[in-house]
Amino acid sequence: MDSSTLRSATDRAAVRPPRRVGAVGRTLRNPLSLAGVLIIGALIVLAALAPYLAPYNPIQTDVINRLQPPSRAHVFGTDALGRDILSRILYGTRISLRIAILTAVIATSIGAPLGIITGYFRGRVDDLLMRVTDMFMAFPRLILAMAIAAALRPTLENVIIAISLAAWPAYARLARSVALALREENYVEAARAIGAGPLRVLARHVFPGVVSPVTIQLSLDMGGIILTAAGLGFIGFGAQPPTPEWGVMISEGRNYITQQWWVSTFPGIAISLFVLGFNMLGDGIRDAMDPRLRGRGR
Amino acid sequence: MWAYIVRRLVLASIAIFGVLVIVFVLSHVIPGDPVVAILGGQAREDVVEAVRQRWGLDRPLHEQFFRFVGRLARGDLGTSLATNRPVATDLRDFFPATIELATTAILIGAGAGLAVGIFSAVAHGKWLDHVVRFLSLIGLSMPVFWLGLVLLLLLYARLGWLPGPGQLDIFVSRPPAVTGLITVDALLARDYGALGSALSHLLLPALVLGSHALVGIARITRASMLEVLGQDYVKVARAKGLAERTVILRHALKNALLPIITVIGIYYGGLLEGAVLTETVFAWPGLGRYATNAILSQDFAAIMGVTILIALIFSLANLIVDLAYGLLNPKIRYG
Amino acid sequence: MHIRQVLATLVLVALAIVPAAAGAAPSRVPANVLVIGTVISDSVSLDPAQAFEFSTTWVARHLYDTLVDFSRDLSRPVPQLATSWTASADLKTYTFVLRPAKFHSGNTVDANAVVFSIRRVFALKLAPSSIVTEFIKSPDDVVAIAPDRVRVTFNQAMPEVLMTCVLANPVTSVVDPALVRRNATADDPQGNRWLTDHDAGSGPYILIGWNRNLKIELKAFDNYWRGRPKMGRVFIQDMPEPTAQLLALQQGDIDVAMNLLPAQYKQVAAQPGFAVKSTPTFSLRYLTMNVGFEPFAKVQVRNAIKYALDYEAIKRLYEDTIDPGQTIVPAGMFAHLKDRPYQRNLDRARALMREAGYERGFKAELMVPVGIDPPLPDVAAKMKEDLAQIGIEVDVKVLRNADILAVYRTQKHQLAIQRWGADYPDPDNLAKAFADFDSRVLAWRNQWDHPVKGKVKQAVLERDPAKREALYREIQKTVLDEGPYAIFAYPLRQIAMRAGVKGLDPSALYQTYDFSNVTKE
Repeated sequence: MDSSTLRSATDRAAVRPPRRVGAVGRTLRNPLSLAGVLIIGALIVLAALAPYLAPYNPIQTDVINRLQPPSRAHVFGTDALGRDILSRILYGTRISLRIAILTAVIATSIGAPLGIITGYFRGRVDDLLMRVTDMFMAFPRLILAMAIAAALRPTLENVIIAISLAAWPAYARLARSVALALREENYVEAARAIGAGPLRVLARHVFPGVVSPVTIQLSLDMGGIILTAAGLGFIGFGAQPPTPEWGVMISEGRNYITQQWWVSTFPGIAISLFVLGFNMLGDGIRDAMDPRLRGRGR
Repeated sequence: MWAYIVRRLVLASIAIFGVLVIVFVLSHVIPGDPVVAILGGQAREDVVEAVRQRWGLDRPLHEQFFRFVGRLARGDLGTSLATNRPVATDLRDFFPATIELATTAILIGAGAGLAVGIFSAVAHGKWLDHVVRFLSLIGLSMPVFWLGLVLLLLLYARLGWLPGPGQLDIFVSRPPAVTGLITVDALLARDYGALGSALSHLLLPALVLGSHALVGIARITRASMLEVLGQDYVKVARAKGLAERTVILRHALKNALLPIITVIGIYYGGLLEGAVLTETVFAWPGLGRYATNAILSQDFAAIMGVTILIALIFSLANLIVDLAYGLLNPKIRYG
Repeated sequence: MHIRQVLATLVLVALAIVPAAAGAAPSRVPANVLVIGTVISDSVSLDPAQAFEFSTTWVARHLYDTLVDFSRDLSRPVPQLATSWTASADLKTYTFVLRPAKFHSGNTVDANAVVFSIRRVFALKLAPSSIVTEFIKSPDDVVAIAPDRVRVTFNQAMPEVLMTCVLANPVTSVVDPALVRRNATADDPQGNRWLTDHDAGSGPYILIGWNRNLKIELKAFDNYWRGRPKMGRVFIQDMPEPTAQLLALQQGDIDVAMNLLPAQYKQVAAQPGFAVKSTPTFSLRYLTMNVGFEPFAKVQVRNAIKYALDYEAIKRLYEDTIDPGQTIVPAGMFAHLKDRPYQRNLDRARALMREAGYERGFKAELMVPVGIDPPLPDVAAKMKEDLAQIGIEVDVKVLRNADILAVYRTQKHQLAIQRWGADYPDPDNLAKAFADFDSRVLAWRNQWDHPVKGKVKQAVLERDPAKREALYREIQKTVLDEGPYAIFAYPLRQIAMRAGVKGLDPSALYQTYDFSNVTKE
């Protein structure tokens, strides 16, 4: 995890116009999303500090001490190769964060611009895009990612690519529908009328409108992305050993579930917690940013 | 409306054809060799060559594709390398198991999801709402394969409340196959022993598979209900002094149902994804496992067969959802 | 109400963590039924001319009979459909006398059926056919000379054991010609598709049905020539998850579990009410090095790797359920060489690397299969660490075995972990595979063309057992000293069962010996 990207992200958040601060504020006032933020924050800190916090080298094997139950020496026990599960989970946080963030970045940066452009200009390209997304969306994400990962050979990078390729059409669809609606808005038409070029209209007027729904969708999807990656790892299309990826760890540990429950239980809890953090944040962000849900129902 | 359906079907078949081309190319750029995958590491080279020729896998790619499409046009899905049977037979055998599992899962998911969603919306903002949402979020956050293993261990191994993996108790013989759905076949044959056995086997995998749909449906129900509850006519209904139950069920829910139905449709199709993992954990002889095995052994005809079937289901599910929209909301016109 | 649910959930989770009480739940299986939990999802076909996986050959053995069978110690033939046989002086031609026996259809087993069945193998040319075609030149070499007499002419001298390797193999099972012909079609003249999930045999069990990915169901054949088997019904349940198999065994849903993990066998063995039986198998696990990959062209590098591996640690990963042998002919087979020269010796390994000019090490990719043998990916992780000690930076790739085979069979790999199981219980099979470049099997895949291949060709023709044994020992020694394989395990085959199941034993060759003698208490 690169802390500089995080810092610049927060910087940007700080200079956003007040309306956004309101959204952030509302997000944080919701106890669910606050808890989500805290969980994710804690995980980011753990990921960043993994080398200092992990009591052992996560890939160092120690066959004599394999499958040791949780003890003072190994708080979460050891796995089939005698590796310290706590250390592996700590390092695994980095991997899951990387998968989640890179997939989000790749999928939205393919999907959103395509959707904005074709939705704004309409025409043949738009039709074509719709057919292409139809094809992709005619398939469950896991099965598609499975096929792509199988074709590309299973590595961590290819898992990210496979999930991104399976995920982008949803964002293209979403961005397109927003762009379609916005191009009819008065202020966009006005901008066109006073002679703003298409690039300027897209950048200044359409793009900002797309950011919020895409962010909502993305925050809701984040947990699903991590689960898909873990599912791929579980059926053997994921990261390679000795990489401490959580899905692979569960898969390795399922063989020991009746006797050495700790091998798969702790990574299972780690994934659940991580996904839970994103899901709570996602819900909170949606509540805060989606105008339809704001202040209703009381 | 008929014109609309025809147009949708044409579009769907174009999309499915596109999917076929993509999957065909994908399954042929996969490093590996289906013949080797089936024959294993010990078969001699001459045998491998002979099998390759017999299945036409030594032909150029485009030729293989056209042969495939030609056969498909005649309604022949080809023969699976891995089962040595027509793919159509395989699909007919495996698909009902998945349909049965997915349908039960969606029934559980939709029923419980609606209830949780409504409850949560009514209690909006109160601590109960947060607790319910928190619990459902936990459900959504657990990997389905892990949840399956843990529940199997708990309810089968430790407590013995539910039967283990598989579709039926081992000694309960399968009722004569009419629909292929064991529960329905058992009902038709009035074999209530088999029905009970099938249902008890179905419960746990369906619960695990349906858990994500449950939470997803609960979420959208809550959101949709919240929106409707804020509308003026609901306020009016309340002002008229109608019972809260009536307001919620008769007035609000009816109008909140539209997006909920969409989501149920989407989840129903999406259950195939969870089926891949759930069927592995529960030794369920369904399409998900067939698909995984097909990809693992690069059983080309089987991969294409599954692809066609899944794409068809998805397109049909989408179409039905859109039509249901129209029935519920006459303002929507097809065009 | 919801708080109560939360509490209930917590209690349940706590229960999950508490270990289950030891001991067997009462069996739910009726006394005259045998239920076996195993993996049949990889099974392609029960046609004996096509069955090649452990699961299908094993089931086919109960549906069909062959002319002869192996004695339990695999040292000699015993009668099956043939009651007696005579060999010509050059040991090339055998004449078999058939016993009166019936097919499941009621048709009589006769010499024509035997001829039909073996010629069918030639015609189909499917995976196991090479076991026949390697030793019988043409379909015309199998002839019916009387209704109860068959003559088989081999392409070389065949000592009795080698003859048995061919004619006890399930691929030469006798099928019912009338039934097969009736179910043949124009595009499938040998009835292969029909035989995939039907049976046309004369064996102790009749196939009732095969629900793919679910179960194979068998019933006893009343008119079996050896008498009706005790277990009237046998269910072979598909249970791909080892943990699910373990649970089903403990819950009394199955009588026998065949695919547990090493640690689970240990766990079951310690529980009252269960028995675990094990046997050495004729299969091995090895790390293979492609001589075509530059560093491995040097024998010093290959041997450095053999010295760098921690064989003791690997044994522990298998929970001691392996025999850590290192030669290509596994323990228990004729002419097995016991030598185990390689123990972890990093100084020696580093010296060899220096000698080869690779003191700075190199990078190599190691492919390891997922799903065929659960500890293998762990073994690969351990090897990565071991080889790092002598400067070899290993990149582990866990792949489907089919992917690995596609690379391996085209000589494009660098390092790979693989397995080999003897197709027939004679050292010839292993020598051909590992040492004879011209057989185009493993030596060829690793581009290791060594003069020892001459010895392999010589040994199979040698009729004097003592000389033959000496030749195979020599071949093993050469492969051990120079070959591109680091053999690290002869795995044991284990099966777990409820203590009441009697007469079921694992076999070195098949998953179990015949289960038609099984009784239950």
